[in-house]
Amino acid sequence: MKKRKILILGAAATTSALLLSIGGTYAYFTATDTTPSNEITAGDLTVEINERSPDGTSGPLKLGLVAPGGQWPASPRDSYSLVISNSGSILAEFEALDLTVTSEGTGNTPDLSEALEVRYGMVAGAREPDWGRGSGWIRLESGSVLETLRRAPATVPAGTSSELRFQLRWPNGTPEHDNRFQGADTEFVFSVRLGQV
Amino acid sequence: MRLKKPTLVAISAVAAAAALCGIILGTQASFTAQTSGSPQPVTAGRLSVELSTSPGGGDTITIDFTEADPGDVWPRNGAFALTLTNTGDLDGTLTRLESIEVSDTGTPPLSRTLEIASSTRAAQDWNDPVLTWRRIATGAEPSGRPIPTDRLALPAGQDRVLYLKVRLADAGDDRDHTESSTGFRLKVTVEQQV
Repeated sequence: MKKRKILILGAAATTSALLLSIGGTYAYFTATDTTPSNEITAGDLTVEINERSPDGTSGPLKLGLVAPGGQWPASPRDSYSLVISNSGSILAEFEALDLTVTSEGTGNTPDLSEALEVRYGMVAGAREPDWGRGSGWIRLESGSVLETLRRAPATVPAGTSSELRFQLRWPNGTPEHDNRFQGADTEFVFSVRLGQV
Repeated sequence: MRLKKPTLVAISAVAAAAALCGIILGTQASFTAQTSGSPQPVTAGRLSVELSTSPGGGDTITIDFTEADPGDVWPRNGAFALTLTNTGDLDGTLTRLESIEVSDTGTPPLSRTLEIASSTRAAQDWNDPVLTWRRIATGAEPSGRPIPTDRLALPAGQDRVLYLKVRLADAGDDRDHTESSTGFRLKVTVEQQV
């Protein structure tokens, strides 16, 4: 056979082989399936705070007629509470806890915060505060409460709360100093930020 | 394509910056929640006291020492009434009574012979030897000095009366106070009750 004929036969044989191969592929069994829908839901982080008086009533402290030499509440076993609740669904930690004095003095009367001192203690749940691990007595002024605590607060699991306990006092000064604050007032707010652990 | 060294360095820097941004963005992606509480108001009380020596006023009391002898007392009957009114909103307590701004004319100073005593009781026996009489001024305290007094509770918005008596002391040296006079003011200190 001539060389040209041989080439034509070779090409035909190759084509047949390819067609057979393709036919063979179509002949394979196949089966497909899909898994159930996988749902992924993000957790949420929500913080709520409520003020509570030593007698258990809720609401801001509204302290009136304070005078030098006083301490509120009078007993170290009692305190005002800021109940910080993690009402979300994930573990949280304190990122910020600040006090802001929102008032200013009026006329010749200075702001009462200049005469007052505060001490903080952080507890989990409704236990009594350990003032020795708290801030000690410090001036009532705007700033970070967290930085004053001798021991960093614990994390706040979802659905639980921590309490910032605090007391106020007015140290006795000279009459010339203290009399400037007669009738004075002050006002402050707490703000808190929790972060995901 | 071959990159020159400066180009490679620049690309590395961009890559590093991008990685850092990734880290920062990753941190910001953490959940946080923030809230603030209610305003917490604190108000100081007021303590204010007014003195009056007669109903409705702070009149000056004048004593005539003409024909006075050592041991004589004024007023002859009863006592001077010093009314203290707490016009503040805090309860107070009288803690101090003192003579101040003593001024004398004549020598020897009459203020160093006159004595004063106080009582919180209207029915005080002024001859009671337990009662403390105190000179209005002395050489060491020429402009005034403390006068013993009982502590007197002074509730907010209420009046209390302090009774006073003045007498000419027996100095024992036959002092001549002819044409002498003295004047002074009384000062009370009221402290708030904690």
